[in-house]
Amino acid sequence: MSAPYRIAGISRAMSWLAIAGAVVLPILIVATFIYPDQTRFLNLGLNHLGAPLADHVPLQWRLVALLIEAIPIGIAIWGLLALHRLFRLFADGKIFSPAALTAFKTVTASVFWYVLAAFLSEAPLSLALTAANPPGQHVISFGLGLGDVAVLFLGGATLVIGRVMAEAARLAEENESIV
Amino acid sequence: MAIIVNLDVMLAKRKMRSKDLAEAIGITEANLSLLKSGKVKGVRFETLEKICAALACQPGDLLEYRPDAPQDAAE
Repeated sequence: MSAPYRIAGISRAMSWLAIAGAVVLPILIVATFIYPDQTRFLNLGLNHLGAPLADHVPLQWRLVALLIEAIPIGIAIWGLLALHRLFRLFADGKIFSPAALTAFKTVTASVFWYVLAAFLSEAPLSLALTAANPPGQHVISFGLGLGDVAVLFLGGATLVIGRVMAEAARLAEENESIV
Repeated sequence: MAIIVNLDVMLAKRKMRSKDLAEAIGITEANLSLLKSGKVKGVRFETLEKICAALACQPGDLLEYRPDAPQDAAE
C-alpha cells in the first residue's frame, strides 16, 4: 500500500472522528450540566475546585455556568471543524495546498484560544456554580494546571510544524514547476 | 527568462509530435507544453537526457542563452 494511499485512508478516518467530536462534544457538555449526577461516569473533568457541578446546584445557575462554558467549548468545536477540513483535504491529496495550511493555522489558533478561554472562564464558572450557596460559601477559583501547560506546549509545537509545512508547500510548488 | 527552449524547433526537425515525445520521455503533455514555452522553473537532467535520446540531439540544441530576449520573442 503506497504512502499517499495510507495517508488518504487515515485522513478520511480522522476527518470523521473530528466531525463526530464536534457533534458529540456539545451534546455531552449540555447533558453534563443538565444531569450532572447521572453523567458523572463520563468524567469530563468539569468539576471545579470548590465548585462541584452537581444536582444540588440550582438548574438556572447550572445553565448560567453552561453559557460560560460554551465559550471554550465553542472554540474547541471551531478547532475540531478546522481539523475535519484539514483531514478532508489530506484525504483528497491536497496536503500542501493553501487551504490545508489555513485549516492547520486555525487548528493551532484554536488550541491557544481554548486554553486562554478555559483559564478566563474558570472564575465566573466557579462563581456561578456556588452562587446559590449560603453567604460566605461562594467560590471564585482559577488556576493553570499541568494539563493546560501541556496543551499550550502542544499548540506551540503545532505552530512551528505549521511554519515547516508552509515551507514544505513552497518547496512542493517549486518542485512541481520543475519537469 | 534569458534561457530559450528550442524544443519546438527540434520536434519539427525530427518530425515528431509533442504527444509522442511526452509519451516517450514519461512526462505529461501539459508539462511538455510548459517546457516548450519556457514556463517551467527548471529541467531535471534525467528529463533532458530522455529528450536528447528521443530526439537524437544535444542539450545545446534545445537550450539557448539569450540575455536580452524574453521567451515570448522566441515563439
